[in-house]
Amino acid sequence: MDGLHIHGVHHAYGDTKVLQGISLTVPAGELVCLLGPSGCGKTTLLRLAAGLERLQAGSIAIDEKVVAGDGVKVLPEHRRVGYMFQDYALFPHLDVTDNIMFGLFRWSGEEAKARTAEVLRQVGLEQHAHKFPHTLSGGQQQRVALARAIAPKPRLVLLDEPFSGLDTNMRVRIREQTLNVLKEAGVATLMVTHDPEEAMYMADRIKGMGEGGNVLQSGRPTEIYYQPVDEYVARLFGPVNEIVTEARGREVKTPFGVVPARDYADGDRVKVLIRPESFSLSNAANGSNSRRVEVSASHLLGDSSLVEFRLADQLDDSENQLFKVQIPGNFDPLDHTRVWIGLAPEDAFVFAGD
Amino acid sequence: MVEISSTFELKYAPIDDDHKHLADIVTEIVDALDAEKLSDSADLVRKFVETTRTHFQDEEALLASHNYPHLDKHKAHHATLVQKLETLQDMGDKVVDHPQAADSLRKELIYFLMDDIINEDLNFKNFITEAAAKD
Repeated sequence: MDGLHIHGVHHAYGDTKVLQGISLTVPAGELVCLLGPSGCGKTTLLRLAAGLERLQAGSIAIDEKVVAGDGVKVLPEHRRVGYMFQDYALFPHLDVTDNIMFGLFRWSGEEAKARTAEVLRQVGLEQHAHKFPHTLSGGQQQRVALARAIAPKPRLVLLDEPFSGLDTNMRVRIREQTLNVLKEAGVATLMVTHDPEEAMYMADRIKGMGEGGNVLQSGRPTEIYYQPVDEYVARLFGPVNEIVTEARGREVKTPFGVVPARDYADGDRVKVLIRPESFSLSNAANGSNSRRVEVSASHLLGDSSLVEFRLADQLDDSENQLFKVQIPGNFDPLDHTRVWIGLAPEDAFVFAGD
Repeated sequence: MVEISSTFELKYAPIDDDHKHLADIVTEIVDALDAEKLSDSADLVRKFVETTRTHFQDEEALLASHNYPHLDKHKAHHATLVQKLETLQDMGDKVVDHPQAADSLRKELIYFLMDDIINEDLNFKNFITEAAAKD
């Protein structure tokens, strides 16, 4: 199968283990994203695939040809890998055309020129062909880096936090364009990011990585977001509300209704995690699970509002927990406004408590 | 056509044969989807799901018979995949009425086979080949 196949990769810097038995497959034309916090070994894995680090254990194959492991070590320049660094790593003394042509040193002059013109068209930078990197915006520099990565027609593209240096508006536009260019090229792409929204937008498959340098869960964005295997993976996608309680009769009671807890016996301590966007907010009771709450604060985030609230019938209780709900649009209530909060039981995740 | 190339082989015939059989079924599903025989593809997904369940049971019995030290972890992995099998079956059934979902099904089957099943099985490649050599 064409694409990238990494198997059983372990890596350590001295006594510090950064990767522990990582395996993954990226079919040609697909984009797989490694999602995890800083220091979880994501970039190390990219560098190993590119041949920029010596493989200590495991194997790496590109288009069914082993490039590292089993006694093989193919030099980086012979792997046909396009690497886009987090800081783009453009050559400041070369203009856009020469930056792109740098990777085409094996091509004939005419072929290299034609290919450079082609990729400049793909990323929409034809009119900037002879500008120097420092005269370009962040988004334009990112596109030059992408053009340089794909120009030699690599078998594999590696993207290291490719949009982290861009402002919000630019990031949305550039990631859409990047995805289109990569899909058009039909190349296998492995991308690393710590941004869950970026991962969900770009990836055909996400691999959630833990701090121990291992993959905790693999799946389609929908699957990994809605069916996280553990608390760590659930939290990779942002802050969650947490209710610590006990299971009883294969379910748990929460202030927002009963939630199934089939894997837990009576008396087991459990954590119920609820994403802020999983709550619904309304001005009237909506079903038996609706709960009257008092709004403590509301923050407009642009296209949504983050609303903090406490249970209205326990306001005198010092342990009355603060919850957060995120709803579309602007919600600008008066102080102490009372509203109703609802929750679909399937939108709550139950995991073992500490 | 979905093929198990050498980098995906355990070099242990009973397991490699199982994987090849699963790859053959995926190829049949992809062919049925390409030919827009969507009812056939749903039946084939059912066959894939059943064959995978049997593969998991056989593999766990094999590893138990050789006292594989990480058997519990592998069984836990199988348990998560059994949940995914239900999703795959659901996707297979939905494609009958929603042909536009064929690409998603095709893609998910290939990831499921190559990434979820075979990549994980490669973790016991050395163990099982050494155990077999001792038999």
